[in-house]
Amino acid sequence: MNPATKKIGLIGLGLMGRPMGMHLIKAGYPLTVWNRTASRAEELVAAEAKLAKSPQEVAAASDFLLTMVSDPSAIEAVLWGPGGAMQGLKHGSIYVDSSTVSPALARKIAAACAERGVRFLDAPVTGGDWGAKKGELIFMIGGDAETLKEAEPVLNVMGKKLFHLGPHGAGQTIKLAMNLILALQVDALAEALALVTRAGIQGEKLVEVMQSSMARSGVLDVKAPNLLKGEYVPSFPLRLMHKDLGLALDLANQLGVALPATAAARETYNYVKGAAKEDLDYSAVMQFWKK
Amino acid sequence: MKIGFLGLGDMGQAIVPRLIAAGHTITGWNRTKEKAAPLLELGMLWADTPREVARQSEIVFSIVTDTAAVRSLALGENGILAGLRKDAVYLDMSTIDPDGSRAIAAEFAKAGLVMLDAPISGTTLTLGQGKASLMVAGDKAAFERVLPILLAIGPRVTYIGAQGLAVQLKVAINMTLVIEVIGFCEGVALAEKGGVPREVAVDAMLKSVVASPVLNYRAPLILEGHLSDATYGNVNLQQKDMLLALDLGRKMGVPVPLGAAANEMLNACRGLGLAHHDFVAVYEVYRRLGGMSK
Repeated sequence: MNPATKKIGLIGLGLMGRPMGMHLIKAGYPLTVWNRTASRAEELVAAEAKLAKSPQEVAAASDFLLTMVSDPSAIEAVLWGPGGAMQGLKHGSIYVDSSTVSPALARKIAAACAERGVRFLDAPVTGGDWGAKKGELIFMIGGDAETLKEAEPVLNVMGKKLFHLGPHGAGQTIKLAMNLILALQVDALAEALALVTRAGIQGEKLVEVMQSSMARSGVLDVKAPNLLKGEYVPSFPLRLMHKDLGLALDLANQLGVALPATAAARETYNYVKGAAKEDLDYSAVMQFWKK
Repeated sequence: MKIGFLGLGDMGQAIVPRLIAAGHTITGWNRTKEKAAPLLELGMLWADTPREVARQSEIVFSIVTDTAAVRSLALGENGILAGLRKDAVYLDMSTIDPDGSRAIAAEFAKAGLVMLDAPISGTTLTLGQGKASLMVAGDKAAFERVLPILLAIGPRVTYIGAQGLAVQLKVAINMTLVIEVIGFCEGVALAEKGGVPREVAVDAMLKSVVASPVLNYRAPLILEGHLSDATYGNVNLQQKDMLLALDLGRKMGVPVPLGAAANEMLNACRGLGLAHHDFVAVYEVYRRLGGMSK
């Protein structure tokens, strides 16, 4: 299908939304955008995206709506607040939410969409802003296979892999589980560095051994330099990782599953988030040991 | 005095008789009217709405499960605020989130009315024994006026400070209580797994310096076959307060690692289908994790 005939709407032009939007424009899709802070739209508008006055206007102008906002309350405002997108969505259109929210909220959105004849997918991503810029995001998808098939060409413009994980909510569940793994991995590296540093050994040596061993992992490759240098430019902000840990623990609480390590890690991230004077990457968890 | 009482659950059922016995006239209300029956027999009067209760009262109490419930009966269309007299005092005894309490109190203050937070520490058991503790925060003069009535509920009444600080402290105390009881379970499990008979371990703990009022009445429940003897606070109820504590820690940027760990043990308890028991049933989690026979 010729991209030029499929009108895409994008709401949420933050760290992730902007590069995702640029890939859509480069692929030839006509793009309409909206963001709470309008100035974030400048780059995309300069690349010929249309700026709408409200989420509703974006939805009404789209065959395919994509949202990428920070948290459950943001998506609820975008969908159901004044000038919200839900009332503008066209019958027969597709709506994909790539924000990370609770599985329950994903199911609620799916139900509201079904009432309007709109096909919904929860499709949170992993890969950070780096993955978004390279068009190499990994999408974790919940919803039906037919809708996914139709959404594939659009998602493939922004991502390198699509996983269909189950019905609505499944994408979010896997995303939350993924992020708890990442949060714990980075927290574990921070603890290990604190230990060796206090014992008088350079952190670089630990990282070198780790990277030649079975403890090596992609995320630790990317984050280790942050922890060693003490520099935490946000790629995935700590406040968002902290929010995701909260969502994971909420889900576990609802299901009656104990997550002792996740609960403990969240307290460490709590402290660093509270003490931080600016927006930092989640690898700033290392700062717990800087006191 | 003419006292209004909203919320006739377990705690309400234990508090109202004490106020009646102290000679006060009580007008009560509950979302489910049936719960009022035993209290009506003791002489409590009934009103159809919180607003009506407030209209007839010099002091109004509420004790319900959560912030939303308090907000509804305090600020709803036929709520307390709509009927409270100018010189009356409203005390909320519910354990809810401090910010929520402050927001509700602010609405009362806007109308020139007084709301105090007055959470109550104790179970129906300790209340009945005349041993409950109350912590109160808000307008000090109003507190002084209602103090004699509070002493009819329990002998230990402490003024904490600015409105909202009493629930803050209550949430912290409840968190400490859960950590303490779970710590006790962990200790007994360690002893029992090593060969000490459970009754001996419990008895020794209660004779040691770790013995506390809460352990004294909860510890016997973990003895074989005794879990259903009493439910002072079931897992779900206790977890509700624990989640308030974790939420506070998160909002204020204060880590509460033991609280977080304790909460996960409560989750484990629920996962085993034990949510309706007193939360000391966490002992059962340890017993199973430790592979100990019943």
